[in-house]
Amino acid sequence: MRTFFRLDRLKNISISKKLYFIVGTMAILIMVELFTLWFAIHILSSVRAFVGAEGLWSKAQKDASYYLQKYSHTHNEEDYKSYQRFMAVPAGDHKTRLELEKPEPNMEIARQGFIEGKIHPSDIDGMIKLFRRFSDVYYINKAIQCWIQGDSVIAKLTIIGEKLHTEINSKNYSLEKIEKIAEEIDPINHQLTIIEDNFSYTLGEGSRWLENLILKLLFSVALSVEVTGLLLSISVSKGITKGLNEINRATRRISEGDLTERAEIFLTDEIGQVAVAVNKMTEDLIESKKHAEEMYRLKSSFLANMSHELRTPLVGILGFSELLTTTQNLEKVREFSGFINFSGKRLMETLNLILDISRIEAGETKLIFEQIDIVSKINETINLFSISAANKNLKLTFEPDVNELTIVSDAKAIDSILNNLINNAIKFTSDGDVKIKLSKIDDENSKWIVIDVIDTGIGIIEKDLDMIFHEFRQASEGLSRSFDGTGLGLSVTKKYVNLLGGSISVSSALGKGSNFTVKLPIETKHHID
Amino acid sequence: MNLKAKQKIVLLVEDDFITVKLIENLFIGLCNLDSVGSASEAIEKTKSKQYDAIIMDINLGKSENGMYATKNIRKLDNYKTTPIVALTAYTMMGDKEEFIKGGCSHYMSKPIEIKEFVALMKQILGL
Repeated sequence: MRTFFRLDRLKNISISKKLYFIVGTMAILIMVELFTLWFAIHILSSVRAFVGAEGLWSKAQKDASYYLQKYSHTHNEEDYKSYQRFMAVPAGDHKTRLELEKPEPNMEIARQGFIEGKIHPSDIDGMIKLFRRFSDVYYINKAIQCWIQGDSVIAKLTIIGEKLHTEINSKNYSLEKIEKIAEEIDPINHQLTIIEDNFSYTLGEGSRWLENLILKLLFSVALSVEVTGLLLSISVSKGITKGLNEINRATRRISEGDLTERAEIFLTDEIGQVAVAVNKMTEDLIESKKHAEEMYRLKSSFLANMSHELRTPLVGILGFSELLTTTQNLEKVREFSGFINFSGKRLMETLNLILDISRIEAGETKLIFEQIDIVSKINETINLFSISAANKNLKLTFEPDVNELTIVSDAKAIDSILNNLINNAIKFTSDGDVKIKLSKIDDENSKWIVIDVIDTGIGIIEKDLDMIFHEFRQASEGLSRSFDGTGLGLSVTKKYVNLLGGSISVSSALGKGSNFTVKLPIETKHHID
Repeated sequence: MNLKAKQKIVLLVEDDFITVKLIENLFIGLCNLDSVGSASEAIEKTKSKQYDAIIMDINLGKSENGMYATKNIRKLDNYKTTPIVALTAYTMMGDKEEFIKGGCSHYMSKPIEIKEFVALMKQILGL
């Protein structure tokens, strides 16, 4: 599980980090290889030093034996001294061995012993290390056993030397006795030769074993460096190729027009991120294509409906004017003229709204800011509608919270907003009343006026509430209206409210009447889109 | 003229009252006229009464439009072949075909060409 987790993490890192990882791994493995080599050379060199030291040891022992033999014949003290000088070599080595066998050896004494053993100072450290660290290794251990054995035999030779020296220097020495003591030298010499050979063979065998081992070790480390590098490179390049191929494939399919195609995301590295971006771009493309298609549909639907809305009042104008040409009855003439006039007004109203909308849409509306007495303004508008309200028996009232309030705004926009809202309220209400409220609110940053237009009319179905301000939708989707009208009024109103930096909202339910709320800044300082 | 011949009766489905007034004036002395302002009323009327022809406005201001009414009326056994005239201000390309396909037998655009319309109605009613 843990290994899987690590591999997984390795897969999802960035490409540059992967490359660093490969190079880093290779470098570490090469370091391991170099260290192994260095270590191996050191060990082999120390083994070589031990073999050399054995040579010196043996030569000294042989020379010591020779001078002791010679001394037994010549009785010359110089020969005895030569014997003693040569014996110092194995004795020095012996001293070192005893010291090194202690748990905490004194390195000075150990080094001194080897120097007395005539070993070159540069070899001493390596030999000490080999002795201390590898004494458990079979070959080293066996060689040390030989050494111990050799030392015990050397001790016998020392005793013979001392006996011989004592005998020769005694006042009444006997040649026969000297001869007898000297005869012991040769067997000891033979015994030592066997031990010395054993020591050399053992170390030779050990070093061959070690060479073999090191060779194998170096080979496997080198092999693992190559294999690891190769595997890592292959896996990383495979990942890169796989990711790029997938992106290639997906983008080709997408460019051929298949927008349902997506690039599969294998990893979260740079290539994975490119794949994510490609997919995101495709989603965006679908989104904007949908939007463009929807806008196209709405615009042509809008056009069809505008044509419909302009043709409908023409039915009355053209139809009744044609009938007029043959009508003599004055009462009929008056009735027909009234229908023509009504239809003409409706046509005019529709045209004005269309012009308003297109002007605002084209950004051609220049707002002119001036001081407006909003209370008077609303009163004037209500007066304009008093007749049509009275005709439907509707009570039209205005309830301002303030007696006088001056705002800085565009008079034409304010007119349009009030006209459209009050006109709609009267149009969609068959009995009850239409109430207009005016209040003032201050929030942290600015001051606002709030105009409510409340009717008791047919209301609006909840699902239609969010689309009534959209000119294309409203005119195209056939809202639940049972009265004539294009419904353009509300979108013009919303556009003007937005231009003035305000907001418009509605709360309504079918059959429960509607409440339109317009919030406008008391002072619109500049054009706000 | 056969005086015993039964007066023909036409159903007008139209929400625009000016259009209703115009057609009422056009049909004086021609035939009887019932008029309703919504699809549901039209369906109700046809269930209880046999009309000789129906004049159908398409945009009735509600989601239940003239096409909805036409489809439902056509389901009635006694209205399979009754002439239904689509009388509409929808005049864009493809509109006429859509209404004919949806069950109307004739199409007349708004604003109404009076002579043409009256001639069509006379032809349909066999007058």
